Formats: sequence, structure tokens, C-alpha cells
Amino acid sequence: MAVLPTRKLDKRITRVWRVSAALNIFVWMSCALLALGLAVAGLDDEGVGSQSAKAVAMAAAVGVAVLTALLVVVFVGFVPAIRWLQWSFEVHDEEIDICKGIFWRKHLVIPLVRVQNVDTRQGPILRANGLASFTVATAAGEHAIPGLEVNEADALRDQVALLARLAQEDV
Amino acid sequence: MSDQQSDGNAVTFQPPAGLPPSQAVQAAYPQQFYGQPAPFPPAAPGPGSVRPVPVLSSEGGIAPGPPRAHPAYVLQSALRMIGLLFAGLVTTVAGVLSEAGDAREARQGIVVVGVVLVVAVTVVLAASYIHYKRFRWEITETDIHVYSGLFIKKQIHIPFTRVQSIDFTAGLANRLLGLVRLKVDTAGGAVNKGVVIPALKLGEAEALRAEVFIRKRRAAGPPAAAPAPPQPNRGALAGFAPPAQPFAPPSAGQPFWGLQPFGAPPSPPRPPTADDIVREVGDKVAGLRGIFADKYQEDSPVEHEYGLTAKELLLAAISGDRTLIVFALFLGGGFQTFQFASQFVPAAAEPVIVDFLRNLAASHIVFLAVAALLFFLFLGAVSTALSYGGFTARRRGGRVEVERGLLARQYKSVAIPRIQAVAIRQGLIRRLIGYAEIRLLTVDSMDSGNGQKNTRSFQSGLVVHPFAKAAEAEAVLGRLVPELKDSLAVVQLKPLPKVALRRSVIRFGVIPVLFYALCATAATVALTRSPVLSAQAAVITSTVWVLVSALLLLHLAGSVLWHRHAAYAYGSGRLVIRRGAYAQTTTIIPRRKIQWSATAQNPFQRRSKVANIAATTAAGIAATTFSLRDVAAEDAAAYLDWTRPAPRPADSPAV
Repeated sequence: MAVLPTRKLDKRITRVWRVSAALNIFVWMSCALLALGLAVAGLDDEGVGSQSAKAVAMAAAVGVAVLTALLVVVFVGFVPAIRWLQWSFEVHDEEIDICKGIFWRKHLVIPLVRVQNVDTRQGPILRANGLASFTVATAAGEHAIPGLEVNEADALRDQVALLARLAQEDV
Repeated sequence: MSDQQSDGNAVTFQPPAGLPPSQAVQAAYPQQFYGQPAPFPPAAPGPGSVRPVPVLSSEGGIAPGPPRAHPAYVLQSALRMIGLLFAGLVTTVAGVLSEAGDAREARQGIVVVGVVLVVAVTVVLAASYIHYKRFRWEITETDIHVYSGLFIKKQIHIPFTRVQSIDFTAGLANRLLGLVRLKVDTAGGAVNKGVVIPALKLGEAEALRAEVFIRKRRAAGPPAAAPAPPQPNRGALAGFAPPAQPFAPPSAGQPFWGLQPFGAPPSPPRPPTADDIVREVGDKVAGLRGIFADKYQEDSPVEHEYGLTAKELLLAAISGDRTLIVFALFLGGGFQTFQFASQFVPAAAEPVIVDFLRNLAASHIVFLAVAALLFFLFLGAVSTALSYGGFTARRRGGRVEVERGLLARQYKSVAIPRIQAVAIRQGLIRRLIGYAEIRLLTVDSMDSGNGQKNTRSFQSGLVVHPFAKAAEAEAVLGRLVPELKDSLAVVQLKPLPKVALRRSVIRFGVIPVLFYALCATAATVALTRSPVLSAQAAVITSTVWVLVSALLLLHLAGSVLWHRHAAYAYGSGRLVIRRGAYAQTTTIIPRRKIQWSATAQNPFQRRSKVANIAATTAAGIAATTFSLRDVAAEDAAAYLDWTRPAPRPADSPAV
């Protein structure tokens, strides 16, 4: 049986996920509102009674509000915490293990021999929380470990870079 | 013009026998072609070797600098533009004619359309001419340089060590002219774009390819590495063909590398069979080099070579999947033609046509359907025969080379380390007769952006045998790519657990059919309510439901077949995955090419104790993931452990 990885992400990553989910919802819902507003304005021009146009506008606004509330509860309230629970990783001498996913639970194995480069990245939300994400790139795509304390991420980057080089020498 | 200069020398100069190919090629080209002095002075041009080179340059003289592409593509891109515009133009003219009130308006309309056509073609001509003028390339000691661009000047330098393959393609027109479109592929998929030289003489392209690979070897390998076995004395560039037989195949007269093109030993004279004829046609096709192509024979030995026999080509043509593709294309095209034609049917004729359609008896319809099917079978067969006619696959040095095509022709090669996986694919018909297509899956790169959009087939890679006996597929591959021998050993595949059958039936059988049934119900309700079509509603709804039942049967059978076919094995350095419902693909992935591996499980799979397994390689443009659903959960975990590298020896430095 595969040994499941045990290292966890920094708990603060849930805050980052919450903020970015909220921002995403805000942007999408603004777009939806804009589109709906244009559509309702169009209705008004086409000679539909102003009464019924107002009713449609109300219904649309209520719909968007309900949808937004639902999305916020799910993606800001619950998902980040569950995602954090499911996320774990481990850096072995020869490979990196990553376990993640809420509906689809994935377990990835990335042999260090295949690692082409490693880096740490930090966006504004991550920086505000004192976190960084660590990325390994192979010839077939990248994998990120998103929420690590900055020093921990840097240490991990250097460790994996060293391990990857050793692994390359062995081939 | 520089290519005039280089061509002149290339075809007239006979390098001394025994000269190594690298030097011979250098000697054959002028100094700026390779950026270093030619070691031998060019010989005097012989009779019959001077041939006109189209000159578009207004200066008339010989322009300095690195060589250009062959100018023919300037005209070709204009022709292609005309072809593209033609369909649109016909429609426009028709529209103009039908809208026009009288003859004068119609004439004016046509004049406008004509002006648009002339302007468009002029613009394209001018653009390609400027591209031609700006596009130069050369090879130096270490890289290939390409200069291009009108407003933004681009310089691309590709070190030889990064060059992975150099492929040519030639359409029918280029084929006759002896020109090819040359593409240099680099390592690194989508990130590192390759370079395309839009038109080049075939001989020049071959010389360039050989030279680049020689230099690549020199740059990569240790200097002590001798240039392999002693080679027979042959000039890298043979003389230009005598004018009497300009299309003579290279194998005519003298043996081709001492090898018959299809590996057949010379036999005593006997009446020609169909095989001989196909072989001869194949030789002719492979030998047809076109007007401008210089002669060239590569000097590294062919280690293994095979082609297709007449029977194989015929069976491959009949059993190919192209029938369906051609059918789909034709349906699309036919529908549009019908729509287009219906515009011109005079209103008076409509009842006649409707009557005619109504009076068609069922037997006629069946007859028409069978005739149409046969016709598409024939078209598909012709299309396969055209694209695989004159098929030759050979192993030369560290590369596998494939040439194919009766009219348009492809010259593709792949370096052995670039092979990421092998796919052995059997369509429905081929599975019944026990044959398969063998494809090497490789790292592909995008074409460089000079207006040429890459027309990518739905599957990438290189077909190294379109029609091999399924039982011998591994043997064929083993001879062509001995490096893969370990990965090809026959292995017992493990089937999926029983619970996967239930899941397969639900996934491929029940859910899609439920969806179809929902649509059909909606259609039925809509039709019965509709006042317009109430007369035909019964006929239409019953047809729809018959179709849905047929789909149900097909899907159920397919889901059972999928479960029966799905199987996998891992160990001894490779992962093997077999899957597919009606068609079937067996993929062999060497373990060292797996970039990362994964298992995935959704809640339903967790309850059934199964999981998906996946292996991602660098094949294709970015990456290709090979996966299989519903493997027993503990096997999936064991697979994941198998992909972990073996622990390092204890004496290696600890971190």
C-alpha cells in the first residue's frame, strides 16, 4: 500500500483561498449583474410595459443575490477548510507525493529525476498572509504546493533543487 | 541571388570520391552557406547542368548574404489565397446576380467582386514576396540562423544540440516542382518553437538535414567517436540527372545502398505479380523528385527498412477508419451544397422535387444508402491508399525515418530519445482481421509563426506501420527501434475487476442513453403539440425512437466491450494500457518516460474499491496523460509505488 503523505499546508492558506474565492465570486457576479442590467434595459426599449420590466429586474436582482449567497456559503465557508483537510504532501529522497482533491481525491507521485526546475512564488494575497507557493516543473507540466510559510517554502525549494540534482547524477 | 549561386555550385560540383559527407556538403555549397571557406574549389560546370532559376529580384544580380527559400512559394501562397477565396466568391457572385435589378447592376457587381479579388491576391503576393525577401537562413559552426520579419526583425538561432528532427512535407504541386517545406523541430514542445523554411529544393533539404545531424553529433558526442563503420565511396551530392530521364528514381541502374528498396533479394525473372507492380509504383513514387530537386544520397547506412506489400496497402485502405471520416466530411459538405443549391431552385420546380422525394420507395432508399456506403468505403480506401502509397519506414543512425504519400509526400523522422510512448491501434474492422497501426508518440513542437497554421491531425506522433499483423506488432517495432526491446516483451495483461463492468455499463450505456431519451421525449412532445408538422409527426417520432433504441443497443454493447478490452500491466520498465470499446488501443509507456503518475478516486469509486490510474508523459505539444478507469484500488496503489524511483544506494550522500 502506498504510504500516505503527512505534511500539511500552513493553516493560513485557508484564509488565502477564502479571499480569492470571494474575489472570484465578486467579479463573476458583477459581470452577471451587468449583463442582466443590459438585458433588462433592452426589454424596456422593446416596449414591454415599464411595470413588467421592473418586475423582471427585481427577479433578476433577487436571483443574483441568492446565487451569490449560496456561492459564498459553499466556496468561502466550507470548501477551503475541506480542501485544507484533504491536502497533504511529502518530499522523499527520490520523489514528491501530493494528495489533494475534494470530489476527485488525487494522489500524485513526481519523481525528482524528472524535475526540471523549482521555484517559489508569491502573489499579493499570499504575501499579505506571509505565505509562498512552491512549484516543481517537469517536462509535462507544473505542480504547485500552494500554502507554505515563506522560509519553509524557500527551504523546500533549495532541498528539492539539491535532491533533483543528485537524482539526475544517478541516471 | 544567393540561392542561385548556391544551387549552381551544388549541382555542378562533384566532390572527390571518399570525401567525408560533411566536407563534401560544405564543398558543394558556397562559403556563406555554412559560414566557412569551402575546402575545395568548385569544378567547372558540366554540360546540361545549368538550369534556370526563377529570378524575382529586381536587382537581377546576385544578392549577398545567407541563402533564401525557394521563390516558388510566393506564387503558391497567392494560388492558395485564390483557392480560399474562390468558394466565397462564387457565393458572392451568385448573390450579386440574384439581387441585381438589371444587367448593368449585375455587371457593376461583378466588377466590384473582381476588383476585390485582384486586390486580395495582390496583397497576398506582395506580402509573400516581402516575406521571401526578408527570409534568410544559414547554418554556422554551431547553430541554424533564421532571419525574418518586416516590421519586427526576428532572428532565431537554434543550436544543433537542440535540433531533434528535420522533417519535409510536399504537396502535389511542390512534389512536381521538387520542392519541400522544411521544418526544424527542437526539444521542448510548445515552449521552443521550431523553424519552418517554406520552400526548399528536396536535394538541398536532404543535404541540410544530413549536415545538421553530422554537426549535431560532432557537437554532442566526444571527439573520439569515429564516424561509424567505413562507408562505401559515394559523393554526398550526385551529379544532376541527365536531361533525358529527369524523373529517374535513384534506384534505377545501380543498387540503392546495395539494398533493394523493400529488402527483397534479387530474384530470377518471373511474371510480374500485383506485388511487383505496387513495388515498382512505390519505387517510382519514392523516386519522383520533381523539377528543381537536386539529387542527393545520404551517406549514413540504413540499418533496417520496410514498406507495404500490395495486399497490405489494399487491405489497409479498405479497413481504415477514414471511411467514417470521409463520410462525416461529405455529410457536412453535402448539407451545405444542398442548402446552397436550394437557393437557385425556381419556386415553380419545388413541388416537383418534393413529389419526387415523396414517391421514392423504401427499396430505393435502401439501395441509395448501400450505394452511398460503398461509395464512401471507396473514397476512404482511396484516401488511405494515397496517403500511405510508397510507404517506407527505415532506421538510420539514431533516427526513425518515414516517407509516405502517393501525391503529396511526407518525409518525417524522429530521434529515438524523443519517443515517449508507443500506441498500437486497431479499428473495428482491423481488430476483426487481426491487424493494427503502430504509432510512435513523440514530443511535438508548434510551427513557428510565419502565417503557416499547423494543420494538426487529431492524433500526433509518427505512424511507423499503418498495417502490421497485430501479433507481430512488437516484433516489427523491435526491429525498427531495438532500444525499446525491453518494453516490448509480451506480457500478461490484467483485466479490471467485476465491479468495473457495472460502472462501465452505467457510464457508457445508461447515462448517455438517458440523455438521448430525454432529448427524444422533448422532441416528441414538441412535435405532437406543433400544429405545422402534425401530419408527419408520427413518422418522425417513431424514427427518432428507433434511433434511440439502436443507440441504446450500441452503447450497451460498447460498454461491455470496453470492460472486456480494458486491461493493464506494469513492470519490467514499462506500463501497458489497453482500452477502447469498438476500436482498441494498446499503449506502451516506458517507465523512464513517465514524468509523473497519479491515482484518482471519486466517492463512488471509493465505495466500489476502484481507482483511476494515470501516467503523464511529455508526448504531444504540451503533455499527454494516459489513464485507465476503475482499476482495483490496491492495484492502483501498487502501480503508484511502482512509479517511485528505486531508493538510491546507501553510499550516496545523504541530505
